[in-house]
Amino acid sequence: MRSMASVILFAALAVVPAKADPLPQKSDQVVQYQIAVSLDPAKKQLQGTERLTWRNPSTTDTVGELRFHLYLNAFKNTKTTFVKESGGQLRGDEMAENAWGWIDVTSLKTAAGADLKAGLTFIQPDDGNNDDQTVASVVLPEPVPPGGSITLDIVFTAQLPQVFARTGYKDDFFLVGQWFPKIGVYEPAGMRGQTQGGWNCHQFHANSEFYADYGSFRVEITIPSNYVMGATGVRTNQRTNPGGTTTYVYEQADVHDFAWTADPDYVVITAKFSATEDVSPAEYARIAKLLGRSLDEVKLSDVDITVLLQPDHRPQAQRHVDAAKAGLKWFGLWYGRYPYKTLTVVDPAPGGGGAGGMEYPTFITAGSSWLLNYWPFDKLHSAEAVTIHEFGHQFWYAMVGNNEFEEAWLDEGFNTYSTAKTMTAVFGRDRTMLEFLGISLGEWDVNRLSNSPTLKYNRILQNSWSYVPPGTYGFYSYQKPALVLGTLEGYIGEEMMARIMRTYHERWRFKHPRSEDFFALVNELTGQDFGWYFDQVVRGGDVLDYDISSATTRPVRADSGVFDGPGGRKTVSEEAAHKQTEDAVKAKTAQYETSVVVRRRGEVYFPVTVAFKFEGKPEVRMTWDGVARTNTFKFVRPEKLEWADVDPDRKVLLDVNWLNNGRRIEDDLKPSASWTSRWLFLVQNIVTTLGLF
Amino acid sequence: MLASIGHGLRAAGTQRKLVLLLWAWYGLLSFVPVFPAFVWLSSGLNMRPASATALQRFDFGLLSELSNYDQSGVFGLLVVAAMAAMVVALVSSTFVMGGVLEVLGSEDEPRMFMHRFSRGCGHFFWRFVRLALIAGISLAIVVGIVAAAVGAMTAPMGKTEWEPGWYLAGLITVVSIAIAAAYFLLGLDYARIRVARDGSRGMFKAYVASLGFVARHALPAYGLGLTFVAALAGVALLYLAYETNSPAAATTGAIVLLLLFQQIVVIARVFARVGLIGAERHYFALASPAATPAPAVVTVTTADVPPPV
Repeated sequence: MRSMASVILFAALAVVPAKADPLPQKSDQVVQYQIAVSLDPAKKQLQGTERLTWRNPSTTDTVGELRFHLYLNAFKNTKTTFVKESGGQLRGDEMAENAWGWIDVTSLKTAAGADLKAGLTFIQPDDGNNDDQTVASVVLPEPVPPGGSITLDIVFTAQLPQVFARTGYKDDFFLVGQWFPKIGVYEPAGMRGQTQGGWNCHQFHANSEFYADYGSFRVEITIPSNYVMGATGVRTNQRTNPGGTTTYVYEQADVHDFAWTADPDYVVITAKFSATEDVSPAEYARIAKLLGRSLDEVKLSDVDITVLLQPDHRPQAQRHVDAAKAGLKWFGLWYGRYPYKTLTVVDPAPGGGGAGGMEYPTFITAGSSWLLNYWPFDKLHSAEAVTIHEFGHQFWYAMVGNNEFEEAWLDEGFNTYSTAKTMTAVFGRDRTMLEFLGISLGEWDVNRLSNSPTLKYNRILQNSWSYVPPGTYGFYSYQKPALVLGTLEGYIGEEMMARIMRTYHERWRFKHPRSEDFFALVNELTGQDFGWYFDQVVRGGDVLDYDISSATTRPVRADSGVFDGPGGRKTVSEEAAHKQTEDAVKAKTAQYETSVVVRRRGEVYFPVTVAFKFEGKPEVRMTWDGVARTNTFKFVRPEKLEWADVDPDRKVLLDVNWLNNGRRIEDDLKPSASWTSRWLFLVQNIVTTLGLF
Repeated sequence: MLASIGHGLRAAGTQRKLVLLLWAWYGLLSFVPVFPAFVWLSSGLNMRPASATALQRFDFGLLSELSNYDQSGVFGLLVVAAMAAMVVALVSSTFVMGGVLEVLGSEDEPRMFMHRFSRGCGHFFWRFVRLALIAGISLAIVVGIVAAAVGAMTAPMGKTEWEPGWYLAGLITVVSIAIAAAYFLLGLDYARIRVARDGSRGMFKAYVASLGFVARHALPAYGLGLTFVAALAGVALLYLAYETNSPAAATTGAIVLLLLFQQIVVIARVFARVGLIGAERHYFALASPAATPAPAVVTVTTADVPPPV
């Protein structure tokens, strides 16, 4: 039935004139890499040759210097910026002793044969740490003219570290990332707001990822024949060599990085994401309507999925495949089809967890555990969450290539937001992470849990290595941006938000946007200036919190005193007025005056809806611009107020405290009794056990 | 062993007052951290419509916001109060166990239950304190040695590429520690029984003799303990099944029912412990008969004192 419906739908599409596809088909290829590398598994070393062609993207600048990232030098000794900043610990992983990593450029020549090696010097543009060798510069004998190109031949040796911070080895498992001399990004004037052209080539920091230009890769990798491997792109060739090695050739265009992995123990699982089988016609139709696009524009492509799984994780194979498909489906539907033919999901070896949870173009690493095979750990959706999140980086990092050093939120934050939406689409809200024994936890819960009134001393928009303390980088780059986007969605609506995100992706696919580009797009599509919002929550660091500071409802008291009227002077005593009020209450004819004070506790202001529930009546909703410190809502109605609630639909995800958003007039003991009973049970069990030892 | 289990269950079933007294005492002690928690939760939740989610599920966000909103560190104080109650419970166990053994050993005595219980509590208190100290110190030392030794032996498993080995290494260490700890705790149980039966004064000697007893009768000694632990685990599973599958405790009736079920579980826990002690007494009497059967406590009353000559 489903396939028949698909046939009918796509047959119908064929006769509907399609709009021009706004998705860019190709990147502006600035770089071309042709690399041949061989792995020495005993020494954990790579020997490589690299032919790099770089095109000067500027139409005005002549470039006389090239800059390269030599990321592996971050692991060279204890004096590097990376090790100093991280203290040898990152993402719960510790750097192994005496397992240093480094990269040596042993030869650097132009294609014409001019030797540049002697002129290669290490520079430290970020912190002046002379011991850091993660960025190298070379002055060219002849500058590259605007639009011109230069081809370099580089020979290098790379020593892989024991897995730490995304790359390295663990026994015979290899995850080879950031492993070759990679040219920085030359940003001409006008690009990303630059006022003059120059290199953007940062040192490798503990809290930073990467930034590179788009281009094409052709990489020949030689490894022992007993190894199973996977890499960025499509395997286009392989040959067996004498001496028990095999050379694999991988090629991929329109990417800005290349990673690969090898391990003799991998179990290879293959699957296909089918654009017709894995997405229903109804889902296509719903998303097309949401985005205001034609069905043809939202149509996806088939993708070959390869999961390289650890043997002990074999029972989780389908979970990874399903998670990858969920990513391909929902990210593709919302933001634009995944343009590559392949997706490789790598499950790092035990002890190689430092390589897990990482993204490279068409190639991601998962995060799993043998325990997840079994009850009750199989109830945790962490494996799916990691795979979907890392897949999401294909959209926010690989295709929309923001500068992760300077504006990490544009990939991590956008992706955390998108991951939460995808997880919600797959598992349902409030239970995306865990649902077990009456305890459930959703992605949005996790994002909100990390928000705290004390987190106000940094900003989303700052260099990734500048957070104080450094650990707050995660909150400002992942969770807070997700909450910022979620709150924006709550304000402008799902449809407008979906269109903004779609358009942003389309405009900046295979390009390098900055935050201002996103802000401008929001203003453009909504027709409003959201500077007030982004200034507060992206450029600023303050906290958003609204509460109901008081709510009262009481009968309108009959007046007392001396009154002059047509019938003469009349005196109403306090007692008589009181009785009159009481009688009115009994007769249910009383009017009630209600007063609700809504307060802005945080510095951030945001328009909010306030709901009022009067006895026996539907909710009354009113809006407030949220600017003043307090706003008092007053009513005189024949019903008593039951409760009032700010942001009753809980759309303002940035609000650090939802509990204080509402107030009841009458106590409800049940929630505290319910939790107290559980606390009592826990304490009683422990106390009784200890007391009867 | 079966006879001892049966005897233990009968003893616990007969001594309903004892079970209820212990339940009530530790229930009361639990109120030290629970009552302030109720006050705190009431002040934070009762007026808040958002707290309705607390009736549907355990909401981490709600708890976090409650702590954030309060900003007074009450949550930390509650944890400290709970730990204080636990320490008091641990200390009171030396007091209470004397009463338990005295009540179980004087079933035929016509005196009031509370009299016998109090008599046992007071009579054995200092001796049981000394026993607890000896057992606690030896347990800590041996468990430390076992943890270090087994940890060192299983460490290579935790470094291999065989991931289940990591967890197996941890499991072996935990099980080894549990067996060692159980050995010393069972030794403590049998030492108390020995002291109550024989009126021993040398606590170190009594403890060592009891460790020897447990070693010689390891199967029944561990078997009795495991039987009662398994029974308790069964009750716990029943509770979890109720908690998971029953409708959310969203109404007053449902909350009362939940509270009732919880208290049944706690009473079952006390019942099982009293039953285990009864079973251990029975087994100890069979396996190690007293040389001269004597009442645990010789009560001297004025009627027994000969008139002055």
